[in-house]
Amino acid sequence: MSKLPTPAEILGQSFRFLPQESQLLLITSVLGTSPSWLTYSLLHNSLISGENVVFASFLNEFAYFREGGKRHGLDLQSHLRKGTLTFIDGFSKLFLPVVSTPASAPVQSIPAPSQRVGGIPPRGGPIPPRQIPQSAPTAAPADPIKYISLGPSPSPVALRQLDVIKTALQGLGSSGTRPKLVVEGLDVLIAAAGIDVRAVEDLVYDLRDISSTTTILLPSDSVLIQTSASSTPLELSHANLVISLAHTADAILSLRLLDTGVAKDISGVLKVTRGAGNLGDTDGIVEEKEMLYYESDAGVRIFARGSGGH
Amino acid sequence: MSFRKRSVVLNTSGGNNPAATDATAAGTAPQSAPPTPPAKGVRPSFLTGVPTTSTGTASLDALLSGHEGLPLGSMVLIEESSTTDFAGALLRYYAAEGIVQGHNVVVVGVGEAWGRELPGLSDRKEDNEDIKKKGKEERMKIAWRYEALGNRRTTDSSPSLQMGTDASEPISLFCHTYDLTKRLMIPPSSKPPTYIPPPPPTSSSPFSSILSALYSLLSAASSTNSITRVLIPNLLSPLFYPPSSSQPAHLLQFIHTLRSLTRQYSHILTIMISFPLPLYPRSTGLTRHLEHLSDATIELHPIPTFLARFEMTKSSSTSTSADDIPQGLVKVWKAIEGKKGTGIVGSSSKGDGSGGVVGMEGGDDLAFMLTRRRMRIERFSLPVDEGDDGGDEHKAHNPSSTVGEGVGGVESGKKMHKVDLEF
Repeated sequence: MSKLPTPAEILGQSFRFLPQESQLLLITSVLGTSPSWLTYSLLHNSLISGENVVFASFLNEFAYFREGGKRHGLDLQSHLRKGTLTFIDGFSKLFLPVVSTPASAPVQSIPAPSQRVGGIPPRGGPIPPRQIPQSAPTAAPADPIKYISLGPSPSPVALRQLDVIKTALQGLGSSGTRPKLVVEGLDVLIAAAGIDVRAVEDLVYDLRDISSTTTILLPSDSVLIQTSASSTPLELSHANLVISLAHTADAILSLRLLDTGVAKDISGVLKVTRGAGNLGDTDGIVEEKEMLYYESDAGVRIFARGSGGH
Repeated sequence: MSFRKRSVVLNTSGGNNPAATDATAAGTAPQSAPPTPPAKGVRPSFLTGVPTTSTGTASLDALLSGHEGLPLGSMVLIEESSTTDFAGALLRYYAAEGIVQGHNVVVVGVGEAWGRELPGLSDRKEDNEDIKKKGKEERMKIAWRYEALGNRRTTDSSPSLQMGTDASEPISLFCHTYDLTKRLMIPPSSKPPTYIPPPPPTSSSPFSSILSALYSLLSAASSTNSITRVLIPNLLSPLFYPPSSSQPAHLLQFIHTLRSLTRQYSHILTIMISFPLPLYPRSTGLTRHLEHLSDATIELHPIPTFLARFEMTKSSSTSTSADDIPQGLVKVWKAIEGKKGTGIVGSSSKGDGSGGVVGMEGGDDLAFMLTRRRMRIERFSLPVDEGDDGGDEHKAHNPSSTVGEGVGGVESGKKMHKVDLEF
């Protein structure tokens, strides 16, 4: 089974310094790096230790994470069934016209992703035609995935759709401890749905209030966050979101490609930065460091610069 | 190690033992196979076993993270940083391959004139032979079980084998060779491409008509399980698209929806988009968002041909044919996800021994060559400088080439040194 570094390994000493309540972790990545393994690491850590997690993505469907997690020994499906994990799919139906009734909605989308990852088709022979389930009334009530759909022309009113994240958090947090929250692709709301950046920031603020640790994944390519006089509103609002979150975050994990070009045994650089939210009023401050990481079939390995090799 | 990897793939197939799949194949194939053989032009990925289809360009297939084909349910963005139309050639191959394989081909935004220029099948026997031979040679270094897969450039599916070998050969190829000087004759077994017209010039939501056309096409295709290829040539080109379509909210919503469609119809759908970089440079947030939303991003960066020709002919003139002159560089900004589930550009095609011709290990430079007969993407390196006074010429003609500059710099430095000594 492939191995993933634990958050404790990634953050080192700082991991236990981080406050356990209303903590904000920002994970940034650039084109060509994939932060998914960091997500799996955090999810794994939380789910193994019995915490409840709400996971919302505006960029990928559940099957993507289910398969990715499986590679790293993380069975998201069973956690979903147990109810310790709530997945909120803001991707599959985000801009689809809201024609489907709630009952028929899961029927359409659940079979499709599983078809992709289904069995290896018999080599050489034609792939057996997949059966499209005509009716799956049993799946509908049991479907634990919640969908967000803003419709083809999102209006400010559609923002209320996002309350499903809050409801999910409140639903899981009834037992005294607040659940963790992981959100991927909030930038889609701004860039594609045209939602005002302040509304998204407010949303994050509200969500932090009712979750123990909020982890937010955002792209941070330089063209997206370095603004100039000629920047478009799109770039400005993205930069606004990333930078304002970075200023309130307790720690920032950023992934980028190697500055010196592509290497065979290095996937990229992982940098841990102290966010402005971590002022050392707890036990300590986040130790800033930079490491290299390498994703291979055997999992992900992080190592210090220079100690590459093996 | 490698055997364990193999088992991982098998595990992901769940309880699907071979007997069961064979049984279902045998049970269901006779019903739908005669009109539309659904798996034509589809084969499992060498890497993960997900079904893939060919892009119509063998060397582009080889570039896709070791899948040796485009996984169904993915969206590729081809950017072109010049006013040339090399990306258009790639898209036409992709469309032509779809038509030859009997897939649904949907062309968005451009008129039927675009589709009339699809390249025809090359009738040169050696082209197809060449591919197969080359494929075999390349696969010699690969473990035997991968080699067996490699021979599946000709899928030996039973129906085609029963036909005459000569007749079945072009049908059973995974990726055909095309001749740009010919025009594709749509075989009677295939459907002609479907055209979705560009958005009307005055439209508040320019992409909604395209999307609703796609929804209905896809739900129809999904019920028959026919593989569908969607092509969007020159997205946002002002020739076809109204100005309102380049508003980020409109465009990105469209692309996001396309992405969700590829996931929803991940058993039949692939999308290829070409995008003009001169109009929307990579340094803009819009383009970057587009790249983040696509599954793979490849940039074609044409360089003036005379420069390339000069470089190549100056070196050993023995092996230089017109085919070997690169017309530009290929940059892979985002690689399709491999087994590791990552978008790493660098090492995604190494390690599994299935990298094919064009590995991207170690950041190799890639170049493309478009000749009358085919488009190839190959490793690019500047040739060794052989001429005596090559350095100076190099410097004079190609200041942008680092190797040339280095050589030229050193040589002129030496000369200067000599001159100094003489005086």
